[in-house]
Amino acid sequence: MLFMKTKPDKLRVSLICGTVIGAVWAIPGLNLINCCCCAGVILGGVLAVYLYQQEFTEEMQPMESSDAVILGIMTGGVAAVSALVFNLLLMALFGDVAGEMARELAGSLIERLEESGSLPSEALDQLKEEFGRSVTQSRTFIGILADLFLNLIINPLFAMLGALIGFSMFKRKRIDNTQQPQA
Amino acid sequence: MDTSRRIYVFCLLAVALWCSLILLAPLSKLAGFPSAITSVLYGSFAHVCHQFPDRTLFLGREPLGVCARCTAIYFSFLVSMVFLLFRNLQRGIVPPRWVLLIAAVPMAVDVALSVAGIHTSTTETRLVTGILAGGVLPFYILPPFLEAVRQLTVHRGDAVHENQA
Repeated sequence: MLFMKTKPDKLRVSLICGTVIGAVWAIPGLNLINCCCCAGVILGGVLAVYLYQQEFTEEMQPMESSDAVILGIMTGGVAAVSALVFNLLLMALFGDVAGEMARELAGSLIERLEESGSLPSEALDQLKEEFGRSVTQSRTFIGILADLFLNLIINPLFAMLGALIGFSMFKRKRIDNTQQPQA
Repeated sequence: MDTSRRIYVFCLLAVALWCSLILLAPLSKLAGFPSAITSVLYGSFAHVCHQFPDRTLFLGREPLGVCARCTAIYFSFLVSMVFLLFRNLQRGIVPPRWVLLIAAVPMAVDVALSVAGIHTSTTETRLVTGILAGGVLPFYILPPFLEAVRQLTVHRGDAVHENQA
């Protein structure tokens, strides 16, 4: 084991994948992929493991599941911070585009519900009020900090789950070097 | 109880807590809890789900914390974890990857066709495809996770022993 090369650095892969997840999380429209159980973050974790796996050579110790866990957590952490940076950048450059999109989406949804008549009018009013409040709150300083706090918990967790799925999918079969070839 | 099983039970309780919070969101509203509590619950789940009311199951007249598809994924994940509890957790063996693909493809197709406007996904298709995908995930996530915890604790233990020496 002494002559084996050390494993590749996780930081580079986690920075790349974390930035990609952060961009997906922040860009309006593209962020809808996260609507299904943080699918974007999970796929980011899978991608991180895939890219990390590619950096291994024959002389290195094989990738272990603990590497996947650490890589996933690092990627998720980077994603949470980069999502905040992208959000602030987008707000500075284009104004509250995401908020407008969310308001439009909520409006059309409530309209659809009103037309179908599946909810009583008082429940619809309550929904309208809650949608409006949540969109407004998420654009305040406290709201942004709360978002960051939650993202720092949720993103590493879901990216770790993605990394573990990726590890199960991409792990190479271990070759036992201790076995001597039979004559 | 060995360490792996203890960690597994801890994970199981964490997932059970997550699932119960999904139910607690509407229950807290129905029970008349302060609006701050319900806002925190729904607001936290808003980070992981769109919560569109027309795609969400209702408890009474209040929507669950997450949509029907997410609810199916999380609850089938929990049920599979209970089933996995009775399997040998030490070996870290995962099923072949085609099983995961077969389980995940129907959900991906349902979402893709719905987004493309070719077929409208219904509550039934969301539930069935969600159950299928969520049901197999623990088989791919938990064995390597337990193995990872074992590796990390063993490595740390080695370091401690080296320092003591």
